[in-house]
Amino acid sequence: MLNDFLISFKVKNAYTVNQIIYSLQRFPLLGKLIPNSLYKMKCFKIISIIISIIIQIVKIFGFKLLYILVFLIYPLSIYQSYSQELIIHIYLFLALIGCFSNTEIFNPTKDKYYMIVLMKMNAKNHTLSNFIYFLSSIFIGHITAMFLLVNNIVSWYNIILLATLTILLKFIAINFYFYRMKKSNKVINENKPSSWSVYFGLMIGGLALAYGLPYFNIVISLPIFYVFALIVIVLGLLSIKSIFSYDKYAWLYKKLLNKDTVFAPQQDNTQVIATNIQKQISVDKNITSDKSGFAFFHDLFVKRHRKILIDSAKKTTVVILIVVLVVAILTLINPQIKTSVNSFTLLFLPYMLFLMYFINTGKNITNAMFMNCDHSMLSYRFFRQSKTVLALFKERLKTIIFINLLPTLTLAISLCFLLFITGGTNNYLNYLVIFFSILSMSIFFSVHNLIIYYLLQPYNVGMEMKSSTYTVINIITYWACYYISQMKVTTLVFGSLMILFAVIYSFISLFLVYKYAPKTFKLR
Amino acid sequence: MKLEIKNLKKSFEKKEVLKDINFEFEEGKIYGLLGRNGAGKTTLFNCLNEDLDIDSGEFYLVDKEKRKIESNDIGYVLSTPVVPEFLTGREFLKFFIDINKDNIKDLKSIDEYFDLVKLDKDDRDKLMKDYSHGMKNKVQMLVYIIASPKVLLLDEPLTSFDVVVAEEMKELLKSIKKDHILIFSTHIMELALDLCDEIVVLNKGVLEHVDNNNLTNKQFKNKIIDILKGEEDA
Repeated sequence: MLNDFLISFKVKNAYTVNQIIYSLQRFPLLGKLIPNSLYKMKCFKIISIIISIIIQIVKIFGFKLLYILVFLIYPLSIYQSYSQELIIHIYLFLALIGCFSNTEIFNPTKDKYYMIVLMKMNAKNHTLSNFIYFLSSIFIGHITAMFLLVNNIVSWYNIILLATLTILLKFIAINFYFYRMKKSNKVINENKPSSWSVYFGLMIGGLALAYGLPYFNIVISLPIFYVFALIVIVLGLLSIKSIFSYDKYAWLYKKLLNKDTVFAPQQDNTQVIATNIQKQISVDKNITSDKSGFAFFHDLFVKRHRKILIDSAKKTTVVILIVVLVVAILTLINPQIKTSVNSFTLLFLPYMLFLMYFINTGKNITNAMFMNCDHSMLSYRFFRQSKTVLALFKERLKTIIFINLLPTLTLAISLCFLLFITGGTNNYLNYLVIFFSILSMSIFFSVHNLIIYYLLQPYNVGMEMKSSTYTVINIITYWACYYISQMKVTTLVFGSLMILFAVIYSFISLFLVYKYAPKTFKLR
Repeated sequence: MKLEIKNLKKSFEKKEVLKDINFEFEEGKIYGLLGRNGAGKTTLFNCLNEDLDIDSGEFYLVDKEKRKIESNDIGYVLSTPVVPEFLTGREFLKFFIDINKDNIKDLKSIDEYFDLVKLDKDDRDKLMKDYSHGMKNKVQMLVYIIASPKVLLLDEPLTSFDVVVAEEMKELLKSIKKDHILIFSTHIMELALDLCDEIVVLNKGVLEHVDNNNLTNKQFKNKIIDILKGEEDA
């Protein structure tokens, strides 16, 4: 069994290392320096085994420490009570939740799929050896964390008892699952409960009992704890035997481990998004276009994707209108709100950048463009000709700016309106700056989203995102917007700079697109 | 007209996929490109279609004089057909004709084109997202028949068709070969022998013409297999 465990550890290690190399190779610039021969380098594997072991140690000790800190010590500090009973009370309910939701045996993992399904390892040996490791790590981790953090409150024998109960409760839960499987003849997947409402009901119920009861000064007393412990020990020991003698692990994993259960939850969202976007194509037979060439092509694209393209902009507009209306009414009722809204509107502009980042639908539109249009069209060479790329780019830019104009104008006018009804401003230039800077922000994001799509076209034929540069730029954009929104500048200065920036940025990026897009806009 | 490839090389890292490709493809012929899995057939097509940059060498058209291959000169029919699913077959063809009309010779009506590949009348105005694999393939092929590029690269194009349609497509390819250079990659030797005028084998990064030399069909097949196995001189 030890041998089985070591083999599975080695395999796990091998593909973890391979994944690291693979993702490093996809890094901009750095990726080019990493040769394929790295995959077979022994020393790299050894280093990675050491890293794996360190990760395991962090998982065993670090995570458990964090767990005890967050779920035990932190609530105790809120209750301002550090009694042994309270700790035992919370710990037990958490262990009860954990024993059903985290059994390891009913968790369909990639490791199990590779080892049992693909490599035909003995299911029982693999499961039990990994299960023993799983339990040992919990036991050692919990005892260490508890001794380090609550040793002065909970006696040493109760710490050991609690850790033991955690393990035994898992045995009982697994045995219970075996029983339920036998009754219903259905395989249990701990990540996919048969009823989510029951699952969440039990979870929330458990958490309520753990943290809620102490609020009413109800905690499990020590004698009750010992009786409970005795029952768990007896049932737990009985369950151990049946888990070790269970002979249907092969059957269990044959049913439990398939591509849907193992890979679907971790799958790149792209596939899911792609299917969803494909479903969004309108089948309305009355949709036609009297245009020709690119305009015809693009017109039909927009019309048949109305739902994803235009409706979200409309929804945003409605939300903005409602919020503005509510704020406007409040300012009329309460003079204090009126003055604060007035000063707020004059300071709000930097935040607006962050808000516009979220409102702008450019990224969703380019996603839809790729999934439903460019993914197929880019395989046609005529579609990649400079004149085609640029002609369509122009049409698309107009559309993206136009679609985003509706919520943008609403927002810009609303903000000016709020400023006006709350007492206005001495400098009338403020109205103009607010209006035009919001407009320029919207145009900036529209241009930005479309040009990075054209310059970095991040997807491959399989619709997977393959450009780390694209991801990095998106992260930078997000953080830049966030930091700028924290700036304390007057409307006049910020607004004018924003307008200037948007104009310069748009010109530079349009120049870049016209120069490089015919080369960069292709399938990866 | 000829398509000439001179000393074309393409490697991926240290792996030389195309070592030294030298070949002349002539107009009016269908070339069957055979090669084992991973021999580099698709890489060769991708290079010719400029989807991949080549490491060295050149390829060009010789039409009285040597000239660079333009976008309009080459068409590449993929084995997995991809069409814009938000359009109907008719709309796609209209769009294609709209933007290429200056380059299309003897333009026909859209329905005449559909008749050519025998696409059902009912299906012509359906969104292509509801098309079967074979129907998508027909539309993809049609786009290139309309554009009529000088060189047509076909990557396993008949595998998705049922036997009847495959037969129709073969006839169609034969009918257009007169003014074109057709290079047809396939794994199925019978198909290559049945449809193609010349057999070319891509083996160990080199492109080699297999001469029929009045061999019987069986002898010819054995010869090709020997080359593919790398036992040509055996």
